[in-house]
Amino acid sequence: MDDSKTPAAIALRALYAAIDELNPELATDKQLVKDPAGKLFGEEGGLESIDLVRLIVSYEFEIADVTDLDISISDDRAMSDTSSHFSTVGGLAEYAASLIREEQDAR
Amino acid sequence: MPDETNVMVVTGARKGIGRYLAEYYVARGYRVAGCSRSPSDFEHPNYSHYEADVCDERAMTRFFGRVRKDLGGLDVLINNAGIASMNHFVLTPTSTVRNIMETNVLGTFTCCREAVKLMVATKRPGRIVNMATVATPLDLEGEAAYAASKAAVVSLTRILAREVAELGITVNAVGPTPVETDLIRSVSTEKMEALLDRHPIRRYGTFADISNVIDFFIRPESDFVTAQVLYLGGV
Repeated sequence: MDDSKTPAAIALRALYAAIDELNPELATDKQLVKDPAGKLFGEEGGLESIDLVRLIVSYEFEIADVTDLDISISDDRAMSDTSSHFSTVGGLAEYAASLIREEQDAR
Repeated sequence: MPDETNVMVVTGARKGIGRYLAEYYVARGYRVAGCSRSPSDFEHPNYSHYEADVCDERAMTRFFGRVRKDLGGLDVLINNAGIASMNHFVLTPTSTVRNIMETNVLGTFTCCREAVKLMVATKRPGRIVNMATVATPLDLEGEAAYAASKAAVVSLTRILAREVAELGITVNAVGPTPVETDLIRSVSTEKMEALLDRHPIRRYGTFADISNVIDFFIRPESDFVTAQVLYLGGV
């Protein structure tokens, strides 16, 4: 498979697009960085919970538009654990890629 | 009257209150997407029906995805799908309780979650109306599982209202008295009469009683009304 069409690549590209959509609404010191190591959410700063919700919504729809797959990105530890899938850009993209694979397999 | 682009989702739309609400809001100009486990025979240019079970999380995610693609967003969710059982709790199978909780609580939760995503994305002020019941405040004997499930819906309603207030979305619930639908068909007349005796206004509810409250919750002027549960019949 073309590397750019793997779930991992699609997930990361879609997340960058969602970040581009959210950043204009964030304060200068809260801007998200399009880098897998970039901080998203957790004890050491990052997004407010309501902005994380906005990012996830935008992210899911980006993925749906590109893949025609409707996935729901949720995680029990999203708001309570710095090791959650939501703590970094790369972690979230990896988690979303796993959900894309699951949905592809389910079809 | 709603804008011609206003979109509403009604769960459990094949029959009973859900069917009435689908027809009522289509007639009032909404584009309505209904869902249920079975097909519907309601046909209208502004009505789309989808076969999807509110208990099936993946099916609900796909359903709301279809609503987004087909109708472009969502303004109002009416979480109508629900099941009931009247029985002494000692005689009630756990499987029945599980079914009630899955439909009434988990189904409501999942639909609220997916609906809020659409409302956030379209940046329109959203309205969610959940279905409670007078069985909860009346502590009705024989309805332990049903009343408990709806107590959970009340709690969900109040907490979700706080969590989404900043997003411009309101979440409220209407608590109907018994309406003559399939939901109470198996209950004896004597029991229903005894139940009505406990209502300040002693009559069955009507579909119009319910849509009247929903009309209030979803009107644009009600953007300062959230986390409320309005019980009918004076309960």
